[in-house]
Amino acid sequence: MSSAAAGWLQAGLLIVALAVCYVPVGNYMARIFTSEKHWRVERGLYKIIGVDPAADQKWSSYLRSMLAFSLVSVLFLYGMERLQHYLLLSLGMANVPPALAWNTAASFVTNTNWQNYSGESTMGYLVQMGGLAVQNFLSAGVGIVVAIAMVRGFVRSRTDKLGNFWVDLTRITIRYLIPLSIVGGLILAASGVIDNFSSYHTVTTLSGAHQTIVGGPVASQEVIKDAGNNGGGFFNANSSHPFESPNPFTNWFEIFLLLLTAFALPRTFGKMVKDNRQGFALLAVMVIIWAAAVGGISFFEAQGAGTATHLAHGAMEGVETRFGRPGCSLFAASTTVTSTGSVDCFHDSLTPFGGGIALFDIALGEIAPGGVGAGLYGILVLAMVTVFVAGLMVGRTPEYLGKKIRPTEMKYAALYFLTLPTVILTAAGLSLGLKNWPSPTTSPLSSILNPGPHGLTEIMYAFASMANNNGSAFAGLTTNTVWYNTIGGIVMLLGRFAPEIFALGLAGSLARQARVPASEGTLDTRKPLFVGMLVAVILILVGLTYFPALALGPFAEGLH
Amino acid sequence: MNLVRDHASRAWASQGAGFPPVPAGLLDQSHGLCMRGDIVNDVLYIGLTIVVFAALFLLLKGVERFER
Repeated sequence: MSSAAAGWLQAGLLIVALAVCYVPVGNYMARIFTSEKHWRVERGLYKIIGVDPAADQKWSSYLRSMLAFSLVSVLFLYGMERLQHYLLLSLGMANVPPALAWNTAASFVTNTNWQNYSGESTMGYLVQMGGLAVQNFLSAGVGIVVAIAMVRGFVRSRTDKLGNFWVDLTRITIRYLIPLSIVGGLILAASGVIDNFSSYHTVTTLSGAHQTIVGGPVASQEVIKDAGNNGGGFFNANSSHPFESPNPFTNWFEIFLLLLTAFALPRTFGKMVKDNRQGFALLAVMVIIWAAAVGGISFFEAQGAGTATHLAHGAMEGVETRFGRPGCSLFAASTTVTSTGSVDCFHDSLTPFGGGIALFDIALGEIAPGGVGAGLYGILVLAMVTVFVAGLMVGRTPEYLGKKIRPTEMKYAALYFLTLPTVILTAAGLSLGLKNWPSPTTSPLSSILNPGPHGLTEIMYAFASMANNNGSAFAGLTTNTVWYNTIGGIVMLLGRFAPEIFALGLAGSLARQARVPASEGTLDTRKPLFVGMLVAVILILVGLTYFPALALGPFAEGLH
Repeated sequence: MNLVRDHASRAWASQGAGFPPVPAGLLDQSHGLCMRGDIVNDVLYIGLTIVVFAALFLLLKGVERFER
């Protein structure tokens, strides 16, 4: 089978598998958040942590719980890393240095999983399992429950209550993420992904050199890495490592896992607002943008330039040959439109326009389909902006799902949208501007390993990835320094939690409103017209915000 | 065509788990908590965590005030 045919087949099977799962998975998640019943194990947990599961929280209390939980999570994970040498299953690894430990703690709690370290040479098994993997579950759960709280803003009227953070987080973890991980982990293990506690083995190869063969409980953590849109690899090479993804099936299955929940959440939304067509409209927007990203990256990677590229039938540098160029393109597009960040080929080696699309995907703000949860609340904010713009253009009443979009809601939406570019461009600008601090050889600028437009792309990609909680690295940038560890941690924390404050503030504002019945002037948000307008609003907003950086980076490099 | 490899012998020989698996440079940095500079850094990063979250709580308070 030709490489192109294999690529089409993989994408086709992926679409079929996701389409089959859309309704049952989406409905199941809606049931999790609307069911009145608490499981026995959940009741036990509520008793231990002293939570009344029947008590709903105001949007600000919901947020306070989430922020307090995340603060404790960062400190706990930091402590684990700093003490890892004294913990069980440390493999003799050193304590993680303070700056790196802090960056990693912020990274995993914010669902970013940006990694300034190699897992196999820095983290022992207990830190990987009991610290990093636990956050893979919890940070994914936090993203989903914030999205659900936002959906309740549309569903509820004349109240300021949006649910109970502790109940929502417990339910999504116990009823969805853990069962999904058990099934997915078994499939991965059966397909050849390793899962053991064995120590590393050093072998002598045929040529007489020494090579270290690593071990670890990989399959059980690989699954939540992808299903929770986390992306932090057990090994440095991430999903291109043969122990993380040994064959084309596991590569395909990992792409399926990283898209499954994010694509099913619009169904959950449709189910909860009691209008499945609303969910289909959001799904259509997500599919259009995802398909364009896959097509765009595949096209540019197939073209390439130069004799070597043509002889290899595409740009093969940095591509894992077991998966080929189509497997790389499909993975790269899927991991950057979600907030996953795991990679099966190296994005720094993508063609300039291929890499530019990956950067553009991340800059979209992870909304198509976005991170688990983060994608849904992100696209809902933009849907409101679209309804408002439509109202201005053609005199429609700006209302969405029976809630009026007033100046208050637009202020929240504007603050939500402006936060990420502010954080990304400020951090990138500071890193580019600090030429001689603390010295010319150790300045943030000196971390860029490639001069010119490619170097600019590397630094833009790094901060866009961190702020949008993607976590994939473009590489070519030395980021395990005090500056990048520290500013990166701040960027990840602000990029994750500040937009969530505005999103839930908006949800609280919507929940307090009474529902207004649809009238002649109401824009039907279930129709293709709305889908087209939402796609246009997303592209224009992101395009205008990041155009200078995109023009000076990937465009300049590609057109050179 | 004759194969180069001798199938009677093993392709590779394991040195066992006792062979240092991790680059020595990393192992040599252990016992960080004993170092004074690291304790100062720990205090700084824990403080930074609290400052960032305090800023987020303040932002939340500001949004609440805006709401009223």
